[in-house]
Order: sequence, then C-alpha cells, then structure tokens
Amino acid sequence: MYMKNKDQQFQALVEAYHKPLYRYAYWLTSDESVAEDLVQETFMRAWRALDSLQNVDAAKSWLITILRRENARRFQRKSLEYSDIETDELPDNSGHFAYSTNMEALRSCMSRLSEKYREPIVMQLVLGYSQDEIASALEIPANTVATRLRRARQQLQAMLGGDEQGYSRGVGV
Amino acid sequence: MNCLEFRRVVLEEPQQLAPALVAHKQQCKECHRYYVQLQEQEALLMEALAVPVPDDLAAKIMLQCSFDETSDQADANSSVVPLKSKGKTFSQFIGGFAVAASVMLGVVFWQTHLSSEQRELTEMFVQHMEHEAHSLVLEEPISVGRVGFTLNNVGIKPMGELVNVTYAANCIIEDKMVAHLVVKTDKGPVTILLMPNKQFKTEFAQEAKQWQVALTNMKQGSAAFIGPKTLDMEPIQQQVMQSVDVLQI
Repeated sequence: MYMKNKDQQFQALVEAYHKPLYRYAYWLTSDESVAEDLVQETFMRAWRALDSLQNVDAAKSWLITILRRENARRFQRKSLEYSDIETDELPDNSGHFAYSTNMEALRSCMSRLSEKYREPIVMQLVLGYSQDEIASALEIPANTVATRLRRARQQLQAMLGGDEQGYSRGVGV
Repeated sequence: MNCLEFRRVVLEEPQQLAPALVAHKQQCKECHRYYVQLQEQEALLMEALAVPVPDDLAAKIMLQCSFDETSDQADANSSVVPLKSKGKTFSQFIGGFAVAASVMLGVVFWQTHLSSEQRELTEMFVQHMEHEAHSLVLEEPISVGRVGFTLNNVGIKPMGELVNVTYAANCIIEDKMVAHLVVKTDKGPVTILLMPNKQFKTEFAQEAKQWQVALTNMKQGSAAFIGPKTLDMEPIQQQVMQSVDVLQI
C-alpha cells in the first residue's frame, strides 16, 4: 500500500515537473543529451529520497536543488565559457525595435548569455520563480537577482538589434 | 517615478507591474510603447525557452526508477544474513566451502563459455528494448487487430489470440523488419521480437542487467524474449510460439 502511494506520488512529480526541469537543464548545459541525463539522474535521486520530502509544495524547489547539485557534480562538464558582454561594447544597431521572430536566433542568443545571466531568467520564465525564489535557489541577494535579470534582457535586446537608445544606454546600468 | 526608473524595474520582471509602474505607464506614451514592446519580447522569449522535451523522457524516468526499485529489493533479499551458528563443525565448514567453491567454479565456467556472439546479441536486444523504453510502461492492452497488422507486416499469421499485449510495432533490427510486441505480466513487461527474416545460429538464454534474454528458433527465423530476471518466461514463450505461424517467404 505504501509503495503504491509512493509510486503514485512519484509519478505525479514526474508528470508535473519533467518538462520544466528538462528545459531548465537544457539552458544550464546547452546540450540535449546532458540535459536528459541530468533530469533522469535528478529523478532517480528524488525517487531514492522521496521519503525525505515532507512537503509536496516544496517539491519543485527540492528537485531544482537536486538538479543543480547534479549539474555541479558532472565530471565531464561541457563548459561553454561565454564571456559577459558589457553593454558599452555592444554594437549600436540603430533602427526599430525588433525582437527576432526567428526562434533559433533567439535561442542562440540565449546560449550566448553568460550563465550568471541566463540561469536567473530561465528560472523566472521556465520555472515561474519569483525574484526571491531565484535568490534563495542561487544563494545570492535579491537585488543581485534583479540586476542580473535586467542585464540579461538588455543583452538579449542588444544581441538582437534592439533599441539601444531606449534600453541599454538609456537605463544606464 | 521617472522613465529611467520605470524601465529599470520593468526589465527585472515584466510580468508583474506594481501600482506605481502602472500609473507611470498610463501617463507616459513612450514608456507605454516601451512596455508593449517588452511584452512582445517576453512572449517570444518564453517560446524560445520552451525547447522541445523528448517524448519518452517521463517513461524513461519511470522505467529507470522501477529498475532501481527492483535492484533495491534484490539487495534487501541478499542482505538477509542468517545468525551465526555457534556450534558449527569443521566438516560443515569444509562442506560449505566446497559448495561455495563449486558454485564459483560453475559461475566462472558459465561466464567463460558464453560466446561473444551471444553476449553481443543479448546486448543488442536489450539496447533495442531500452531504446523503446516508452513501450514498457504502457498499461492498456491493444486491439487484436493492431497485433495482427503488426504480425502480418513481417509475414506472420496470428493463429490464436495473444493476451495482454500492450504494444505492437514494426521495427528494424540488423536491416530486417521485425514485429516488436510487449506483453504485460505480474512481474513486469516482456518484450518479444519476432524476426521471421532473421535466423540466428543457436538458441540461448542469457542475463543482462536486470533482464533475461531468451532466443528461440521459429519455423522460419528467430524470436527473442526479453523480460525481468524474476519472471518465468517459459509460459509466455510457449503461448507466443503456439499463437503465431510464420508464412513461408
């Protein structure tokens, strides 16, 4: 009876969270197969430790914590070291504001964001985290999260030829 | 609030606007335009972030965890150690040692005599099964018609009804089309690969990971059965072999 309940609880977790976890893992690693492995390993560890999950409401953050630890443990980490793009160094693509409708271009730009900017925005948009939740998960101050979210969007706009006057430079961060 | 402050804050969380931001947006046309564009950007960004998730990911996770559960149970069973007998005699010790040694020798003998071809075939069948892991977690039996269609595609005529078939598809193994069925049992799914166009040299039974693999010959071609180690596959093999007939090709 207990195992049945455990099975059902676990299956519900898998159904609810495997997609956002995969997307989060993908944007962490920029690699489909590594993301898949990470998610599988995360759920395997979750399965083994399911008894320790006392509050189902905390399941998402619990799974994210496991996944981040697993990612940190990865031995053969495919390190994509992208340099931070300083706003001042970005080309001045004047003209209309146009966020490219080409998804691949947008995804490519996301991949080019440095991890410290990419991860908070993925947490916000894929996992639905608030700034406080991101701060808690990443163990950084909430105002740092706010700054990173802002800069992430500015850099994406700049990479895609956004309106520099109205955004990056106008804001003056 | 001025425009600069408005734009700083909305870039942090465009989805939620505090009352002060809403008020500024209503007063300032430029910031209103800016916000509308930002919302468009967010919609595209969310779409871009939603990369496709592998269809069988959830099935693979459930399967992997079911393996883990099985191995845990096996470990638990093997860890039941009898209490030591204080009165154990030397002859009992020697007898036990002899039995253990013979078992060890048997294992070594068995392992060394497994042909590499059989091992490779076993691995190939298990890999094929795991590649289609989603087929193992299906619960509902499929229609007799669907099973018949799959069998007919490889020149096999159904002679009787195969029960509890939850999956049927045609796959390619070593460049030959095969019928891939999954039968649900109390102890787990059994994958059956009916390969009328592929005849392997010898029949064999082997174990790999948590699976047992049995290869048997049909009237024409071969059939592989892959099931949990704990399952007695003989009845299923008999049922399948009695339920199908290979048309002469």
